[in-house]
Amino acid sequence: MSEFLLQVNNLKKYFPVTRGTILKKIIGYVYAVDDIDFSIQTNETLGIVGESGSGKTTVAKLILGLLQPTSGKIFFEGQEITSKSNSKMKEIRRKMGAIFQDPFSSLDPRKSVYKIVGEPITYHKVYSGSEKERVILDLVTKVGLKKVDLNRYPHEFSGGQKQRIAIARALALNPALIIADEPVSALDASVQAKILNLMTDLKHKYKFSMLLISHDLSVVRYVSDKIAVMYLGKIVELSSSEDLFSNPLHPYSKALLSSVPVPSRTVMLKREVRILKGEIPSASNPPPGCRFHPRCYYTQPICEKVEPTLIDVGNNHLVACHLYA
Amino acid sequence: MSKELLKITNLKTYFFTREGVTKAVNDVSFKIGRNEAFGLVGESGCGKTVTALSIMRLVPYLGKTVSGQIFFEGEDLIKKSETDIRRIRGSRISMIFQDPLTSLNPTMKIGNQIAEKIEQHMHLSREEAWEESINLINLVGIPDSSEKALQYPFQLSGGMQQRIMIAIALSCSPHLIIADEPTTNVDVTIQAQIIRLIREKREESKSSLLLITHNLALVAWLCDRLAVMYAGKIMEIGNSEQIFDKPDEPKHPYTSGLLACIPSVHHRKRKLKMIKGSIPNLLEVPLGCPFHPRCEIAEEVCSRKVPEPIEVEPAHMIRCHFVR
Amino acid sequence: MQRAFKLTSKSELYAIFYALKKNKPAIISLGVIIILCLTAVLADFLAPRDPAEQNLDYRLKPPNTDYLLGTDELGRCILSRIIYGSRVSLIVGIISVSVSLGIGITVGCIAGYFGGKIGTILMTLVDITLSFPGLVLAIGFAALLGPGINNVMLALSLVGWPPYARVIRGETLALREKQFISASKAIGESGLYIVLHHIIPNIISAAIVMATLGMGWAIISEAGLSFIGLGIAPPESSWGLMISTGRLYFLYSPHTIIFPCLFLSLTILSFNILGDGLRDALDPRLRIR
Repeated sequence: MSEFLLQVNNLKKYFPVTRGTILKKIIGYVYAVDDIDFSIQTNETLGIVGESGSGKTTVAKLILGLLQPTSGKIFFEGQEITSKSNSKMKEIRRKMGAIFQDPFSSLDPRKSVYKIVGEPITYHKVYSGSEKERVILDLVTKVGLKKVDLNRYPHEFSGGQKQRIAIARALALNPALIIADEPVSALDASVQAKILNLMTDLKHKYKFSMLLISHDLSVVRYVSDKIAVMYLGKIVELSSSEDLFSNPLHPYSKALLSSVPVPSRTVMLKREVRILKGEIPSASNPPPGCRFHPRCYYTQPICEKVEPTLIDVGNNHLVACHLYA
Repeated sequence: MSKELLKITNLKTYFFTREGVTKAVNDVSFKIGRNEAFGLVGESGCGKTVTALSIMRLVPYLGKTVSGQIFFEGEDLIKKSETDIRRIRGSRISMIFQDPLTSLNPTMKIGNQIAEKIEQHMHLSREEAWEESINLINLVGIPDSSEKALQYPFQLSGGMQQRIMIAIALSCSPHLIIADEPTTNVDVTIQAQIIRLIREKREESKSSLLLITHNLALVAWLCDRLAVMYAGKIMEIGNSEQIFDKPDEPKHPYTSGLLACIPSVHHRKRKLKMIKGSIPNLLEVPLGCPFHPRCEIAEEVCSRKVPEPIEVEPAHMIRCHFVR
Repeated sequence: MQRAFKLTSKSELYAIFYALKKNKPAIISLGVIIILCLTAVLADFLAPRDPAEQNLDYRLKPPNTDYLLGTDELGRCILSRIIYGSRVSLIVGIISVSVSLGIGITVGCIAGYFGGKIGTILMTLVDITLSFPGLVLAIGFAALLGPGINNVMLALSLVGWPPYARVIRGETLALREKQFISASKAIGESGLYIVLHHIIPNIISAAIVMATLGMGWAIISEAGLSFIGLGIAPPESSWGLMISTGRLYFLYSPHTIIFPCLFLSLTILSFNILGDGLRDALDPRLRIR
């Protein structure tokens, strides 16, 4: 299976819910990620889109090794990395870069930009001395910052600039895979555009793969080759970007797409927005059968009892719904 | 009886801080008619929230409305006494805030929070107000209203909290509802529910809406007319169709810039057009037209003279020296 | 090969000192502390007399040309005693606070960052210690260890570390959730590396402020311990001991207590102001540029 850069099989992450302080008793689980499979090739971007409770952020943490899976396997460059200890992961981590959501807390306020961007290099002892300085200066210029910025501290920069610093840090060791968790959600519209453009430019230039996580469909559309739609810990649809937007199959995907407003008065006045009933259920108590059935307009009796599996309806377009079984 | 519900003329609200004067709202004028939905759009720091707070006379510490008029149903709100404003706030003008978790009292039951407002403005008895609040909870689409009324805000989801805020805002049949980023912290499918709720309630009560947001698409969805704000000034006012659906119509460069940089769900843009530069620090707003350092068509006059509002078509105003 | 640009750890230190330089009260305080330290070191040369030398005919005399700050109840020169006393107070203060800080930061960071069973055990230990009034516990330790300056410092260190541990653990818990810690983990940094390079630099200002306050407590506690015979023994002097004994003579010979008090207050104030200045200078966000 070494044709894939990243491969995830039957990945599960359940968080125990405990009661009591000294003798903790487990009274339930939060089924944050419940048996998902996906893969990313070299020079490919997979976007994972979902709302709160979908488990998408947990997926990012699992891939990065910040959380240990409850079960399932993760393969990176053909090697299984699922339960590797921190020390064994060291080599693997050099090939992954991470960008987090909140520019205000993802940079150490006590470190200069030079130290922040250079941290992966320093820790892994890749370069030193003037070679290191040259590499860091190069990184910072790549993301649109200046030499003088190296001596500055995070609080002196705007949100967009902070994300640029975070991107420079993620690129420090020339990673094969970048994991970006809501990289532009905290930014203004005009700044979002700049950061998205920067990310696409860098992607084309350095040919890294990306796992992009966002709740914003338009962001995911702009950057991704493939998209996975997650709902309550499960992938309900997985296809190429084009296919998902031109032909969404899963009722949740359809609702999601029609709920995203566009800046056009005429379109919005005419649009039949598929509004879902009810709220997103709690991940500790998912509905039986298909998790989406209580809010779905197309439920059939089977949906309450049997959980649908992801099937390929053609052209590598996967969907988990009894309508297509 | 004036045909305009709200008319703001030359409003200026400044913040007097140790570092200097922040001209958060710097000569803002617009009108909202009866039964009209109006959007006030801009990115962070442009002054849109402060405008709303100025209308409600809730400008925070260090801020002060220094000049201008806010005519609401014919009366200037700025000249009113605190007691009179309190009577208007909540009954004739209601506000929905951005973050329900901080705008709802965490130690008070939901039902009581709604009932409290009803009691005050509609002079009903305690029991009647409670009944009415349960009605409203139902009306905003929350099931099991009598049970929910006994719960506390933290026990509800974000979407439900926002609906409660709407319930409170609607409770005394206001003539104007001001909604400040009502769906920013809410999932997109829940946003759709809340927007539908706002539309329905507006139709029933025929109240006007002032929607404040950075999300242009939301404005296209809800509003008939909108104003685009930048660095404390209004750069363009027009109706939604003119601004969103007529690409050949003249527009303010900032508005065109904003529209061009929104990634679209419905087709993959090759590259997002960007607006160069960044939002200025409000303590150091550029002289002349505040947008000129970032504007592609700026010329020498733009750095000297603040452009006057020009009416390019009926009801379409642009503040630019070079509008075609 | 031409250097890309210049930023080394040396210039970081320079930036801190430069920021501190701009803070006049902090620089003055630093000066006072340096003078005090020099006084303590050069006591042999600066003190006019032997601090233990008694002159029983000349007891409790107010300041005069002979004895610049007067004499105490046994006719000893107060100025000399103050000069030599500075040694004890400064040493006890600085060393016991440093040791407490060291233990407190270690325990606080471990309990806060790694948590788990060890964290619970450590924090229970902290809570148990904190449930005793500090001075009582110090007396208990000192009684066990015996008199003498080293035992005083040990006792004060053992009693002083729990409050630091408590506060530092709280700060560490808050920091642990920040995304820059996740980012560091994603780079592959080990827990120890993260604690040393990211947690400690961010909690150091809270620690410094607590330390300056702790200095005052240590010096005064030493006074109490010495007074009941568990600290330094006469004829040695410390400011605290001078204040304690001087209390008896306060009504008629206030100079016996005023001068040691003055020096004590000056020292504690200087540490506090310097502490504030250091905290501001260390935080890049607060540095006045």
